[in-house]
Amino acid sequence: MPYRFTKADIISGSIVQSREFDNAIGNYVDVMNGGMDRDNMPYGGVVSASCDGGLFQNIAIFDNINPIDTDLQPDGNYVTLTPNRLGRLMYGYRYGEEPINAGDGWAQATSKSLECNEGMLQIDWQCAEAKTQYWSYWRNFTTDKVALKYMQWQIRVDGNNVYTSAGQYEIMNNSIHRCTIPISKGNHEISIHWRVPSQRDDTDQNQVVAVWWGGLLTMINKYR
Amino acid sequence: MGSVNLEKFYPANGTVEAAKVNANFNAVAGSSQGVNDDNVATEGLIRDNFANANSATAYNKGLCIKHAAFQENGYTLATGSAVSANAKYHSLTDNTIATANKTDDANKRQEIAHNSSGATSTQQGIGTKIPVGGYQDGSTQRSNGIALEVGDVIHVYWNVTAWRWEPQYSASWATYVCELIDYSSVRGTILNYAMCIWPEFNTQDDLGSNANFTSASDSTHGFARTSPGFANPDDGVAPLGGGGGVSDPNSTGLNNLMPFADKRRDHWTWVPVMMGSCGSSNVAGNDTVCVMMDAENGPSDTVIGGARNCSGQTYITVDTAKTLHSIQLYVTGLMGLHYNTSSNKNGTFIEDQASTNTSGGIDGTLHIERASIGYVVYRKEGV
Repeated sequence: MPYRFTKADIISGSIVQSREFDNAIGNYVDVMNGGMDRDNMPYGGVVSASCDGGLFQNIAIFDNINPIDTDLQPDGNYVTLTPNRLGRLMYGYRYGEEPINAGDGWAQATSKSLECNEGMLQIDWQCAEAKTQYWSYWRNFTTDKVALKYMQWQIRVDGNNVYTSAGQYEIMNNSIHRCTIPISKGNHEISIHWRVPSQRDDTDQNQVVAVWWGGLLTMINKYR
Repeated sequence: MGSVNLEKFYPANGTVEAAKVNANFNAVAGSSQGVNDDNVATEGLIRDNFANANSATAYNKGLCIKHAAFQENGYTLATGSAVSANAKYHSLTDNTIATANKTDDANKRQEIAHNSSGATSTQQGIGTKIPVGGYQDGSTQRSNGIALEVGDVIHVYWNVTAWRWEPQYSASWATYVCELIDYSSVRGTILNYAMCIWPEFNTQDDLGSNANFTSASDSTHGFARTSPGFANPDDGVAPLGGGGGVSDPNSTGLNNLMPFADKRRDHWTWVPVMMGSCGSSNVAGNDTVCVMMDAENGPSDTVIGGARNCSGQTYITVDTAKTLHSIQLYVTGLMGLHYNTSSNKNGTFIEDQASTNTSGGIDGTLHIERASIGYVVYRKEGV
């Protein structure tokens, strides 16, 4: 509360004009009616019970994000429809098909919107991913061609790239990506994208290049 | 208190009744409590005005974070060293079991509990069992615990150094090659399996008994019960090979898998352990299998590389008020991927019940060197 000059000093025993009451009391009421600030409130005086939830931050969690199962295609190089009894069916994304096509393009994994206040926005994306590494696997009896495959991830806010990961080369791994950016008040769209390297001329299109699962998108908006 | 409304005398400026003056004074006096949004200027307060504005302790982080802590087991080895016996975590399949059923159920869910010297410890603050809220004053055993409120968010993060994957049964890679890669027919498959690591939570006792750790979505002791909940190793157990017989994973066994979409799996860390190839021609011995890491013996034709740091994390919203006493990491495996062509769902399974050596089954141990775990509890109110 800034300093305010005393505008009325009512003298004892005198006849007081009514407007002087307005001036005297109004001076305090002006402060009470929306003028209180850090100088009026004691330090440490506002406790949790006095505050609305999410006063300083908003945390949004979107869990169990997965590819659409029916979009996945089988790997025809290593897995037949009747594999051995210890075998299993490896399904995922292949070259020549959506969303990879020729590779090197960004496919969208998920997109969420968040109502933000001005401040900082921490975006956390994580998932598990698998790549069929042909530099170790060879196609049954037919080739020794190799191709090192990887996955990259990107975080976009309202279509603008704010984070791009390095390539992840493990055959199976957790992929955790995080960035914190300044954010303005309003509704923002946060989208997650991924890509694999370009298709080589000797890359077999029966190959499942990559698949991901178990996504978790967490956004923490810390207010200014 | 809201807005204070007075009767204004101006501009009449005439004689005012005492009752009206008193009413105005009473209006002011009666508004001396319950300050709210109407009274405080926009952005009028600063952090110091709020309780918890500053860290009260090393763990109390102030306005947005209720508590945070980190712990590591302190087990560090020089490259080329072998880990202790208690730092080896076995796969579910164990071919040394004499009976036809080679499954050791105890291996399905193992605490990562080795301490700084590689010995097993059940004490909080040792291994990966972290006491939430720190120790009670005067105790090196009991945790303070934190009273979780509905709406709080827990961020748990961890890291393990996978020192070595040691195939347990086979003196020769051929055991795995013949069954999993199979150079002799079209039964080729992809050999990518992983051991999985995840956290469990104790809301029962401040001493952190192993018997009291459960999933965060446990119906009795959990604090995040909202569907879909968290997957655990019991979801998707599939008897591979049906106890040694030849089976088709399309109709038996693997179709018991747990589809990814059914439950959360963001709390699992996948530690890849093996890769394989059937080779470039149908010739015996042309096939190869290699392990992903071996910091004990170093890279070779059958070892991709040295130790691997594998991290994980999850965010959990509290939907049931509980006191959280401790968190601990667990390991299970081996987990594989499979697509159920009947239900058209992609998912995972835990390898189980390899019945004989010649029937294969991956039997091995994951050697873990250092491991760490930390958590951040965000306040629901933000103060």
